[in-house]
Amino acid sequence: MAVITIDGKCLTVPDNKNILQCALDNGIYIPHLCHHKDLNPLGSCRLCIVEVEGREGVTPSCMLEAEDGMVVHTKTPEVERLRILALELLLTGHPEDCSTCPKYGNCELQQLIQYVGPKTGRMKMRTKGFKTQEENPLIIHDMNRCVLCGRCVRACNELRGVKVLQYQKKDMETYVGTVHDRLLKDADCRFCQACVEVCPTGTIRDKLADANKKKEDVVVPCRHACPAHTDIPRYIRYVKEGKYDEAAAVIREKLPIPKSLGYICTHACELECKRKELGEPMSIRNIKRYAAEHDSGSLWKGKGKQLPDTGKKVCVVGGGPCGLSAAYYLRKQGHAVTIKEELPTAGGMMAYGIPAYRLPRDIIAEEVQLIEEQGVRIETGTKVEKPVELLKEYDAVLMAIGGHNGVRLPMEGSSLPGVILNADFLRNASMGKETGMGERIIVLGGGNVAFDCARTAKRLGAKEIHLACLEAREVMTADDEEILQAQEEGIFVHPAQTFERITGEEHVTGVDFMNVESFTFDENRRAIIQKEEGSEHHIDGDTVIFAVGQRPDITPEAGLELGRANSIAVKDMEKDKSTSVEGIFAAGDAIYGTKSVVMAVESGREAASQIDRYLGGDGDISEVLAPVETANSYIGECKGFAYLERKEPLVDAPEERSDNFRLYDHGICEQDICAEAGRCLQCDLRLQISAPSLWGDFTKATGGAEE
Amino acid sequence: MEFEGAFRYFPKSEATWHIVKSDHGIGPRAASFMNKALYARAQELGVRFLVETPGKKILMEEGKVAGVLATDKDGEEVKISCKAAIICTGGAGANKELIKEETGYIHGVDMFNFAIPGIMGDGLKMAWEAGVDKLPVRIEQAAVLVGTEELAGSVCNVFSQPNLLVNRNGKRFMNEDQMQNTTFMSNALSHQKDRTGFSIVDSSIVKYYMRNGVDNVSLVHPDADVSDFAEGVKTAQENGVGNLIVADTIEELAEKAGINVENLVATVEDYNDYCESVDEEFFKDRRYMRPIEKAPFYCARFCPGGYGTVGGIRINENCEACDKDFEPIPGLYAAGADACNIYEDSYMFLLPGNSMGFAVNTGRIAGMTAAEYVQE
Amino acid sequence: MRNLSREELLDKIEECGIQEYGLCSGSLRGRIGEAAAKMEKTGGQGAIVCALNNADLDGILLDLLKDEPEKVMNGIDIAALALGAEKKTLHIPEYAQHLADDAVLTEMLGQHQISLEVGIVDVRADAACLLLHLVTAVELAEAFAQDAAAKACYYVSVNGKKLQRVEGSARIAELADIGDAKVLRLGYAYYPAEAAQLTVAEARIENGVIAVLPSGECIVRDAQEQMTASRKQSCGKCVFCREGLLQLQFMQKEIAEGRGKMDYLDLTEEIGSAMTFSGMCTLGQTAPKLALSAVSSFREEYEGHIRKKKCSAGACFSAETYYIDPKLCTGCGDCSDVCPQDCIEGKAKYIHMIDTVDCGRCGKCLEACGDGAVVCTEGKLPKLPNRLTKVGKFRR
Repeated sequence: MAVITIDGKCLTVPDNKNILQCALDNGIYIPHLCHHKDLNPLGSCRLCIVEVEGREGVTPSCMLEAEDGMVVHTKTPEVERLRILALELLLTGHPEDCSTCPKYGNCELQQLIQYVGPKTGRMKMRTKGFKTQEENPLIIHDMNRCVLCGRCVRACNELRGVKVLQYQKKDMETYVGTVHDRLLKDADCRFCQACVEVCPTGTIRDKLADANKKKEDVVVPCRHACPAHTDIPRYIRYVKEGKYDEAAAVIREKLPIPKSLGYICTHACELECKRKELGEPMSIRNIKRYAAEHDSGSLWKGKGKQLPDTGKKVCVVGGGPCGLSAAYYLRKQGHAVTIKEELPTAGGMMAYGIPAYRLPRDIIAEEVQLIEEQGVRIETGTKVEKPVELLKEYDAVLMAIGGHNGVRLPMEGSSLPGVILNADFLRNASMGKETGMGERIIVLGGGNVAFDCARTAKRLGAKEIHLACLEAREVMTADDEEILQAQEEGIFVHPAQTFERITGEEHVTGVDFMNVESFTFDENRRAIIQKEEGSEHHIDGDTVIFAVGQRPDITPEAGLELGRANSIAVKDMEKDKSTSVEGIFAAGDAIYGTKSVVMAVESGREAASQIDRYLGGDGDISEVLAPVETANSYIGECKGFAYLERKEPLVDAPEERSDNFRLYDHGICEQDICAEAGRCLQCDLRLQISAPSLWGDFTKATGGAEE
Repeated sequence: MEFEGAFRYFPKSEATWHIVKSDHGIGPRAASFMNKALYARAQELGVRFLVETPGKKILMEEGKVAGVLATDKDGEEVKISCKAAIICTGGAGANKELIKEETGYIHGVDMFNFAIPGIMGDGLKMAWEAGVDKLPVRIEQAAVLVGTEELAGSVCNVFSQPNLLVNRNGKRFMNEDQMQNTTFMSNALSHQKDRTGFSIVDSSIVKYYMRNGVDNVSLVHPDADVSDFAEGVKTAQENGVGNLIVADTIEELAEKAGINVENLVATVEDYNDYCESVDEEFFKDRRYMRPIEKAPFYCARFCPGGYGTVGGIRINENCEACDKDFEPIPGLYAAGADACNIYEDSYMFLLPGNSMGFAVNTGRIAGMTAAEYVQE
Repeated sequence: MRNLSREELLDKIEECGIQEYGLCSGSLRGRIGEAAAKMEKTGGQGAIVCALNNADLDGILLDLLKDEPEKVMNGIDIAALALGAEKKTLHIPEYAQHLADDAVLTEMLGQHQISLEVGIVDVRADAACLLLHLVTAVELAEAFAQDAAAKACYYVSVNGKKLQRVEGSARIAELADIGDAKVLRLGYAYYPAEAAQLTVAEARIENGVIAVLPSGECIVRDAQEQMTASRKQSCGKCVFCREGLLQLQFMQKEIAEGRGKMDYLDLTEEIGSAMTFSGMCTLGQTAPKLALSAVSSFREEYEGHIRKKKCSAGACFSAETYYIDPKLCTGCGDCSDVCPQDCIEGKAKYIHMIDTVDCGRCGKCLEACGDGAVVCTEGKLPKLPNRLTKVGKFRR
């Protein structure tokens, strides 16, 4: 260690550490621009110069190594004179007007000007004359604002090792760019955006910026989009490295049913993935599935949080993904938890809605068993009519009953024999019971559930299946894959149809339709449908399945206040899931309508946290399962990175899959999984980069802002 | 902090423009010295600054201000209890939708005001939500060269000189002599089709400026040297800047720029005749009557611009925010651009510096009044 | 030599007392010691980088690669052995990249296992390397070959002629014919003609350049060219070098073209002197010396350019000015038809105007004008039109 003095303040610092960082770490601000904590010093901006006793002249403090007994002065008249001169020279090639710059208020150069004192007017000013480069995805280059601090070059070459950005020269004007001014994609940029992160001015900027969101959420949109905020880039990295146990542990820190989700999650993350700006988004769900399926459990089985018994008892009504998750975390907080499930097995919509060909039942059973092994009691075949009664035996109750009553549209013929509701149809099919379907099926609805119905009907042997919905093809809510695969299986899809009437006297004979010209919602969420004149047509059928939504199976007699669409009313769907009865909480589809399994899991987790607090706990259900380590920031070069194509899973051919309920999507194979995981831009690495030190961060005593 | 003095902006204006003394005489960014001095003094007095913490809502209790709700940089809610709140968020210059709703101008099409990131009118909305009377939100207009950011300084300088200014119809619409009063110019522009006008020079004028410097300079743009105009044009053409048009004939220029060809040809002919005698249309000073004769011809476009928005919150002489009955809302104050409804759309440029003056002084008055109120 | 151990080599180098040639001063032994220390500290492999100083814009010393290539390469080899490094590189500036095509040179480099790089030396690239000037390599090779104390080498080229080896005690006046020239450029500075009495050693000609500016060439323009060449050579990383050179170049240009301000002289001094210690390599540190020495040694000349628009070399401003009398011009256009500079503006029936800046003072317009309207004067100009004006309509 060395004892040094800076501006009269005595400090003990590591030997040979650069004086600038020593000062900054000890609350002394020295202006700097090319210096960055995570990068090797460059010594080019000459703003951090100081005088050292016993040495002539001035020295850049970023390149000055601490030696025992060194005495440094950062504010002598000569230092200040030269500092102002350096900034003055720097500003001659920088646009004079801050007010038109998108980085206004966030610019390190701007705050340096505030601190050092601007000086312009003496020297020749110039515009460098570069055109803003906006043709690249994700990253904008506006070289007219560049102050050649060299941070981006060092970040790209030394910190990340991708080596795409270099110093270039055009007619005596130095700038930063790719060799031969190639587009970033062609220069093998990996779009890690470290350059954007370190750029002190508005030169290198994000294309996708959103001032209204937290920075983290914009930088790592996948994690933000996931309702449970699973640390996606982290587990993708582990999968790439072949560390499946670690990857699964990361996932399990947020999701107790990773395998099931790996099969059927609606992957909101993929829809926000930044990779899609370069081509196809990451196949995140399949990567999660692979990790979960190759996980030995070494990092979490028998490990993880388990607080001592609290003596409190909680009853969770409903054993679907919401109830299971809530029960799991409540148990880990030490409470005694019992799940009361109406149907013969736990799983909820996973087991009785989503067909087996998408989510094998043994997978669900496996994950339910893990929850039981944690100590949760599950009572199946038990329906709860009066939740309020449960409070006699339990300290808290969670209603996680989901939405299992299909909606029957009020229209002519809607109660004819042959009309079936989606939830009933799928439940019966899952239980192997009689569904009541005939041979020619018409499914009304355009979401994933409608396709579940249609494709289940196919596998049960229906001869002809039509699916019709109000929405136009582009806005159908079902996944594109589902629609494509259904069509491959021979199902006829009819978008943009209004359902006029169900025909038949004693029994369904078919449905009358009209074509939709346009379909919008007004400000009161009422549908305004414009029909095409003279487009009436009829499709024959002996079965009509309504797949237009589900509602919770509950009535006011249960004693709880109900809300819109028969949901259970809660004080705040996110922050306060308590119902009208104290001690009873509600979560999942039961409170906000049909959404997704992952949202139900998150809702269950939130509910567990809130109930734990209600029962006197701290509400902190977080746990650490995966090793806590910083990811390696040196990601290296990868030729053709931007052009790598998304790996697709192995899917059985239509002929092989349409007549049975076997799983047909086998996920991404071993040969491809590492490559797929390697396509990730690793946007989270950006958040590892140290934040800049601004003069306003330092204490009043040294000329900065408040503490 | 000192002032260099009080100056005129252009000859016909009054000397009311207070320029902050910097360490190098008059030049850009001088106000930062004032801001720094204010900031340092505020700190000395114990003011607490919460940065990256946008205010979201004024909390009222029994019709009086009770606190402010804000969000910190991690997205967590912050509640500050207070007896008085002063709203001075600087208008809504970056909020294109609000500007369109309130003024009818579309940013980027016929309005090119400064859009400082983050200035979205949050203060205005908070005030209106708290019951403050909503006054029109306006832009105090100053004409601006469209595409200034993409063009070299000398290029912009040349086009700002008082030569030939025409509208889409190819006709002159004002005495170009008045171009330095960008408020007048913007007013005139806002009455033209597409709210736009074109400044046209020929090579002869350009050459003269390049050799001798331009005619009109100001304290903000004091450099008369435009010797690198030719380079600036070349770079602009290489970069494909559409706002700068170069043509070999007046007809070609008109076509490329979208100006009525026939009319422009006639206007140029008339103008050149006036150059030999007197400007019969606008009686412009002879000094600025330079004929448009020699190819290539150059043209750039002007549109209304401004510093952002002004106005929206009704205040009284004590800077108390008032409801629609002109009654002050206890504890609520407003200052600066948020409260500045003294202009409608025309900055009073003959008294330069007065919108800054309004800001500084309403800030002071609001502070003093609020301090009294809080002590009661 | 190859039989000597590393220590013995180092001792011999010390004995010989070789100093690094060029702008980076210091004993060679000392510099080798520093590089070795850095190698140890950073665990780097170390390397020998042989090149001219980055500040060297003329590169005349590169002729040593033609005249004494063996010595250069032997010197590099010795240095490498002394440092204990394997990597050896020879840098040639971009303006001399044609040397890379020289087959003989390429072969020799191959034999000595020295790789060739084009471009200035990146002083940040490798801390643990020894920068060796070309001439130092030669001195080193000679010292070992003759087994004697090193003799400082002086190589100069007068006015771009062949590189010659001279004694340090030779006077500039003996080597170059000064004549009536007023300005000398020796090494990286300008001197008045009296400096010809200096010896080569005293004059410190680190780049081998002795240039006598003939009386018809203007120092301001020469300085401007030097600044421009420096800008082209600069890598652009350091603020003072990159921006400082631009400002210095701009000011010299403005002064040469008659738009100079007195402030420019102080500003040149301020920026230039700060540059001498604010850059990381010799280019940023030394290039300003040209502007600084020009302005300080020839201040009168600069003031003349700025205040009186007078150039004693007669290069920047002409004593004579050609103009067209607006009262006499008939707008016939005969003058503009013959002007070789195409600097006469006008249309039929409009008063023509001569652009004084572009005018080459050839006089053809005066001959061509049938109305005697073209005037050549050394005196004050009358009031002239500054925009196209119809014949007869010019009012003073």
